[in-house]
Amino acid sequence: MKKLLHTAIVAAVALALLVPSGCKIVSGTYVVEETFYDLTPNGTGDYYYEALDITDNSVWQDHKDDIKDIDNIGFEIWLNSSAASANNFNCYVDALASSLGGASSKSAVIAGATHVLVDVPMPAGKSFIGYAASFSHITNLSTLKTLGETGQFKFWAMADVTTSSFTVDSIKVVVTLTAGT
Amino acid sequence: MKKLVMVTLGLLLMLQSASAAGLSAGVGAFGGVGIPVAQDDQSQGTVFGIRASVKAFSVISLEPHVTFLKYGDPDVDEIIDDPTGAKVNGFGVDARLGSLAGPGLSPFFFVGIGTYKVKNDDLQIDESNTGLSGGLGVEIGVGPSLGLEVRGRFDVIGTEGGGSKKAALITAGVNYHFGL
Repeated sequence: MKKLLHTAIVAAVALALLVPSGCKIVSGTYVVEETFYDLTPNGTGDYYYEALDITDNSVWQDHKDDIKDIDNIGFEIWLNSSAASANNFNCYVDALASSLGGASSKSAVIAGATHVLVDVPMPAGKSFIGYAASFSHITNLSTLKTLGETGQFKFWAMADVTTSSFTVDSIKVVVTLTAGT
Repeated sequence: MKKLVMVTLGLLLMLQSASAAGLSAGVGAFGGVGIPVAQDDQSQGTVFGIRASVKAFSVISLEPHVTFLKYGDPDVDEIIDDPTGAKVNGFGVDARLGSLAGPGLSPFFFVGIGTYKVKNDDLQIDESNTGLSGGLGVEIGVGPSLGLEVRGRFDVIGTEGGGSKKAALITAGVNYHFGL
């Protein structure tokens, strides 16, 4: 009887500890992956531009109303460079509502958007930047996460050479999020 | 490593004080598997740690512990370049209901609270959060002071946005008790 009483006390304490965080217990961490192919160069050949939108993704759709945290955002990018030598590849992002877009000058994008991928080596020929490897080039991650909360953001990709010398064959956006009720 | 040494020294100091005060106390080590629960970005890994125990009331003991969990590398669908798993280092105190080791089987329940540091250098993650835990186990006395235990533990670690990271830890360990 005494043991039963002790068990009941501990169970009550456990409940008292856990119930206030009940909303936390039913949350989970999910990975949203969305790939965008053959980005379009802007008219002057300064950069590739795309309004990235992952809101149609089924995992995003399942959890969009209960997102607690954007844990991380990374990329997988396939490039193809016809330049004779290696170049640096850089990416910028901004909110979907930003006045910057596919018609903005390169200098305006660099000045006004958020630099997120810095000096990724782009050798001649096909190259690949993996998800884990992308983090060694990612900067301003907190801004990127904030933009990621909407599931949509503007994206610019540029290199030391013009877009006639390289293509962005695909870019996969990988968003890790914690969601729950 | 420096923190581990400091915490270990702290636990030993606490045990020495408990022993000097005539309290029942003990020290133990454990290891096992850590299973992520509802975490698509982690996979099963390994866990080990050390634990002290001090008898507080008749069958209630306090168990400060340090735990080192290393998740396995995840295999997320369609990601070619998966990152390594995260490390979760925790320091906390459990309240254990059940007698400390003695002859035969000693089943027990526990609940606890702790602080957990989640780190993944690959993904620029380095954050500390508070977590709650609970579980049950059984200790088998194999001598007057020695016990072997198996324990199941469920950790819920809060995140800044109000979510949580959860893990189930299944461990086996050995405990040495004195003052019983």
